[in-house]
Amino acid sequence: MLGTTALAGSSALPPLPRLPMSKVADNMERPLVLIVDDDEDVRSALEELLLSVGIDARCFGSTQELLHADLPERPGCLILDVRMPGASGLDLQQHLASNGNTRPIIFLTGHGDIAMTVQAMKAGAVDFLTKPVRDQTLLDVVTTGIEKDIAQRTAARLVKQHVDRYSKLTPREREVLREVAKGRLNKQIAFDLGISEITVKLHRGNVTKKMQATSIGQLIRIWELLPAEIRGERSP
Amino acid sequence: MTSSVHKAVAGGREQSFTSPPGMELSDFASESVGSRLDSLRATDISVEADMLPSMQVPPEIMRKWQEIVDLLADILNVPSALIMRVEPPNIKVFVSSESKGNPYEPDEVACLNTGLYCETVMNTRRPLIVPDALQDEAWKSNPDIKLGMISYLGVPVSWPDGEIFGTICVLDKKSNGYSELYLRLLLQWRDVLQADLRSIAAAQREIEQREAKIRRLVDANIIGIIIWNVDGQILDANSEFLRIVGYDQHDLLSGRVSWADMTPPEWRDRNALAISELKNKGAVQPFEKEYIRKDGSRIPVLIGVASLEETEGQGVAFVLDLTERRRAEAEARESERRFRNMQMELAHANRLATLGQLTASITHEVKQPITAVLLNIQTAQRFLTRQQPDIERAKKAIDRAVLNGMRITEVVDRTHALVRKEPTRKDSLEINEAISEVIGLTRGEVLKNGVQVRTQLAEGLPVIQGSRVQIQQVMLNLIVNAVEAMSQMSDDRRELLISTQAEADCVLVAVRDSGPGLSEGDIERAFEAFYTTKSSGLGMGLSICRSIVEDHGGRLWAAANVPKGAAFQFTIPINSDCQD
Repeated sequence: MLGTTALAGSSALPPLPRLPMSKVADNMERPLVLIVDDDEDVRSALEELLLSVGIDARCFGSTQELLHADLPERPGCLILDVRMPGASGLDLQQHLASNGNTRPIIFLTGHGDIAMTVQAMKAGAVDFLTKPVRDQTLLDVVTTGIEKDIAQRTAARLVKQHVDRYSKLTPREREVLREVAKGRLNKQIAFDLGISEITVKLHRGNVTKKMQATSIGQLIRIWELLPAEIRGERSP
Repeated sequence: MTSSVHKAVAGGREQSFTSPPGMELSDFASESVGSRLDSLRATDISVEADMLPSMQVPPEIMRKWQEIVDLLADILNVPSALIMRVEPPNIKVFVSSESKGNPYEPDEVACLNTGLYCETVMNTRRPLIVPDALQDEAWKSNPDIKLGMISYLGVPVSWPDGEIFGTICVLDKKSNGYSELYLRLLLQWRDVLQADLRSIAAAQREIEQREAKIRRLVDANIIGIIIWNVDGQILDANSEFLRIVGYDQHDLLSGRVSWADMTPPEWRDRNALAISELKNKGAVQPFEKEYIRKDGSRIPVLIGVASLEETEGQGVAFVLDLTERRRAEAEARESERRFRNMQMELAHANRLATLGQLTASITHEVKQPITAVLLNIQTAQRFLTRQQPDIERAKKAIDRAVLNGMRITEVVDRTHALVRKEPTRKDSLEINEAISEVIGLTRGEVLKNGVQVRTQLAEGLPVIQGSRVQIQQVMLNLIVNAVEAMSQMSDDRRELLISTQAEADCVLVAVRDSGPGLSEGDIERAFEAFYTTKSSGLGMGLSICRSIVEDHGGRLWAAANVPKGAAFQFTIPINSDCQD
């Protein structure tokens, strides 16, 4: 009964027809796992295992190969061997992080040493597995990674939506929104901004409408999801 | 030398009479001279014999002397012309004319001191003429009268040193005055005889000298010398031979020493071969065999054999004691064996130590295919346990697992070959392949230390003759050393370049690193045993590598690499036998 329970999310996906990459790429929401291992046998075994449960995978022989590849914007995760010729898995992890690439990383290693594991996990690795690895363990971790990426991507999309809406606010509306988010009363806001309470109420109504919030509570949550640099805008 | 004749004669008088001393001359008359001489012949004579009297007169001279006496008898017209030879205590008819009425047979002997004409001639050393003994009181009763010989003319014949040989004489049954002319003729013949004796004596001296030399050789006892016969007996042996086989002179004289008995059963065939070779060629190339000594122990010998020309079925053999040489050989073999053993132990210890450093690397090398096997098999299981099993893809996954499994076997075999302790065999091998395997084994170590490995392995290199394990051991040492050297550096680029190329008569292998390099002194001392710049390790690695390479007929040296680091290079001669 391998994989049927733990990988419920994945097995819910219809079995993939063996289609050329170009056609599969149309479905931008299908997860894609990137495998980087210098050992070809391990690489292809990993790929085949993932394909057997309907997860697309692409293999790379080195970190350089991956960095030079043209990758589709699809959710998924990275399976990295720690020790490879040239830049190691840990090097790649750093490199991706510094470029804002948030793809979750699963490390595979022939010889897990504690220092390395700690370093990888601190840098945000999903997991650190030692070779040889059990298929179920790996698939579980891969699923976790994919789910995490999907969640991240959803969150990122949401934030982007909010930012877009926020950008449509007038400067005055933004000021009112910031003050509302601080929990200040209309009266106080009107006093601080030197406008009438009625005007504040009007702005507030516009902001709620433009940000597509249904209540003040939701508006405040949306505000909190906005990137820090926006929230800190024009702050004293 | 007259005295010696007298002495001989005197000796003869004391011992040689078979007839009682009081026997009358008349007693002889009733017997034939021949039978009397026969009885004398059996007498045991222990007179000290000088060399000359026993000397052989060669046949060609005997023929000449026969001609002389025949002529003499003819010219003088007498029945007997004789050449007598003294053989104390007798006198012998040495040559007798083949003339009518001659009663003297060659080789007849007569006792001295019986008043013979010749005796007087020999004693006086002067010619003697007896015209008619019957008329002469002094000769009336001399023994020759019994044969009817009443007249005599004889002159003495001497050896060159003056010792008496005998006489040349004529005898007649009738009274004969013998003219002076005849005496001169006789003296002339005497001179001829004496000239012959001179040449015989000279030849004899030569032989003696030669024999003395041989005797000295035999008695020097540097090698054992034996005279043997085909029946298996040893007829004569020098004391060195007796020492070799542990017998003594007494054993030899009593005939207890037999080469056939002394030859161990397993050597009998070789012996038979030698004897047939001897028959065909007259001599046998020296060969090694064993003898059983008197005490039953065995002794190795080298033996050379030659047959003796004159004596059928006999031969001479030279026997050299090989005990000492065998012992020295055994010692040399033993020390060689110990040396080889020690070298093998050291080489093995070095391999183990080097591999020990590579444990993590080798584990990695094995874990990769194991990981692949497990993944592939688990994948196959998934394909098979699906609601709609995909047999085709499951089979593909299993096929891949099989290949992965073979790769594991390869890695394990390779490692095991290096761990094993056994004498190394030199086979034909492709050096690039052997080197690639080592690069595989050290891969993990190289990665761990962040080293970039580049290879430039020349294609189509000639096959070399060598021990795979040993060549790999050298590579293992050089690579591990290089990685270790580079790991000491902080931030610089760590590069390892491994290259092979064909030279005129060898294959050149180079391992270059970008490490701190070697100082002048290090380069010189790097190959010394126990010299190390590292805190760990015995410092045996490079020393062992060098002896391995030299054992293959090649060279191993170190130099500075450009622009930095160290370069270790070695050559292995091309095995011309393996070229097509």
